[in-house]
Amino acid sequence: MFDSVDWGNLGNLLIRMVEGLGVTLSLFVLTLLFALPLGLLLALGRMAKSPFVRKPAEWLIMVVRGTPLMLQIVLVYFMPYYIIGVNFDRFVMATVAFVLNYSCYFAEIYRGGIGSIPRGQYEAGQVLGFSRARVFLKIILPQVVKRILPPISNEVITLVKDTALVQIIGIMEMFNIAKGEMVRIASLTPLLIAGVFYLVMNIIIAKLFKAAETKLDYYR
Amino acid sequence: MLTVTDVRKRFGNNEVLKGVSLEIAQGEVVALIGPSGSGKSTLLRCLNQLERVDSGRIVVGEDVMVDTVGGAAVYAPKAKLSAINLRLGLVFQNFNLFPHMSVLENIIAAPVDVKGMEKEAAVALARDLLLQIGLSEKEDAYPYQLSGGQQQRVAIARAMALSPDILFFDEPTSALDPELTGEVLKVIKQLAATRMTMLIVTHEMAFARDVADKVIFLDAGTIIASGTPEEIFANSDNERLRAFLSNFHNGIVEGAR
Repeated sequence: MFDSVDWGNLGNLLIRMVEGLGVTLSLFVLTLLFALPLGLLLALGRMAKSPFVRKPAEWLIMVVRGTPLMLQIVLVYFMPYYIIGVNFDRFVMATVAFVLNYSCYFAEIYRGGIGSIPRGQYEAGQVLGFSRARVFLKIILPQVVKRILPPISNEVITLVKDTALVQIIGIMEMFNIAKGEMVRIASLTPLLIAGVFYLVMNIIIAKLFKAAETKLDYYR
Repeated sequence: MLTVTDVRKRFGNNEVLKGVSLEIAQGEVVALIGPSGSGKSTLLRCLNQLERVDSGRIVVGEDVMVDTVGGAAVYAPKAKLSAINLRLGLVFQNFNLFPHMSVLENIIAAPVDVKGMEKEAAVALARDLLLQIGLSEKEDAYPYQLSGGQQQRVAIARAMALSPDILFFDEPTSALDPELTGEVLKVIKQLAATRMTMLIVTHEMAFARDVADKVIFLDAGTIIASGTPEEIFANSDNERLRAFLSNFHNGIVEGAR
């Protein structure tokens, strides 16, 4: 299995996989870019006083967290075709599904973080004359960020690995390419290389989160 | 300066304030005493708009914060409520400093953000306040690095930074170890000496007697007795007040030394 390594082919293999890595990274970055703020909005919706806001947010989170991401990718990609007869770009729709899915997980993390801030912080802000929005942005949110970094880092690491799921709609991300190469050259090497790529990405992410946590260590 | 008339507040079936009326004159220091659950904190929270009254009238200076029309409380418009709120400061039992801000940032946050004060002016003001409470060397410290007494002194400075007309204290020393209460009470006494108008909810009877111009005894949502410290602590013939004060006999004797 490993004895037939042809170094010229290995070079080509790496080039192809790095191209797939580009797709994987784009999906990863775009998902975070949209899902982090959207998750916050969803968390606020989930905590709203009005049931007309709270209930839909609750249901959405329930459904999204209660079904496989892979199914969501398929549905988001094929639904527009069945409903309005239009096909959208695979990568765009995969990103939409990921943003939807991760927003819901982030929302629950934000909600836990927001709920863990003592009431007195809101009251102190209010008594000092801060508007509700200013209390949230200036007093509550910075403290929430510190508290949710560990669970968020968990999700982000999972996201790196979840990107492989978009192969279900035929997107050539890194793992899909590795799989193809595996079959083509009848070797596990491409999968192992993919594994190393995921691991390296997650080591970098873990280090970044550690650095962020250290930076916020200045208070308790 | 502050007129409260027949304020009522209930939580569900529990009527916490059963028609409370009181008056605080400019420069007056009023101590509010009474057993736990008597409605002291709720009254302060109503005055600071953390709770809404069910009925009654609250007037700050010339401004009507809430009045009762046809049996229901009617609050002033939002802008006016905000303006009134800025004239009233509150020091919490649990300090509620902002943990992610340094001592200096805690004090200047509201003046800069809410009042639009220039940052340099706010910093100068904050340093002046820190000097008064004896914590000048702590301006860059974070709340977790301070003792409870120091945190409460910073909380007082933070409230003072908005130059309130009236400062309310909600059991300012109840969360402190006994050996730390003195430093906080000293700061409040300093404020009293400057004729700061204050309403202090406290269980420190000796302190109430020393610092207050007027003492109000609240029990089960009703003001039972009100008068000078002498009238309340020495000569009261009210059963409930005497029963309540008997719990604090030691405190008063200690304070008299």
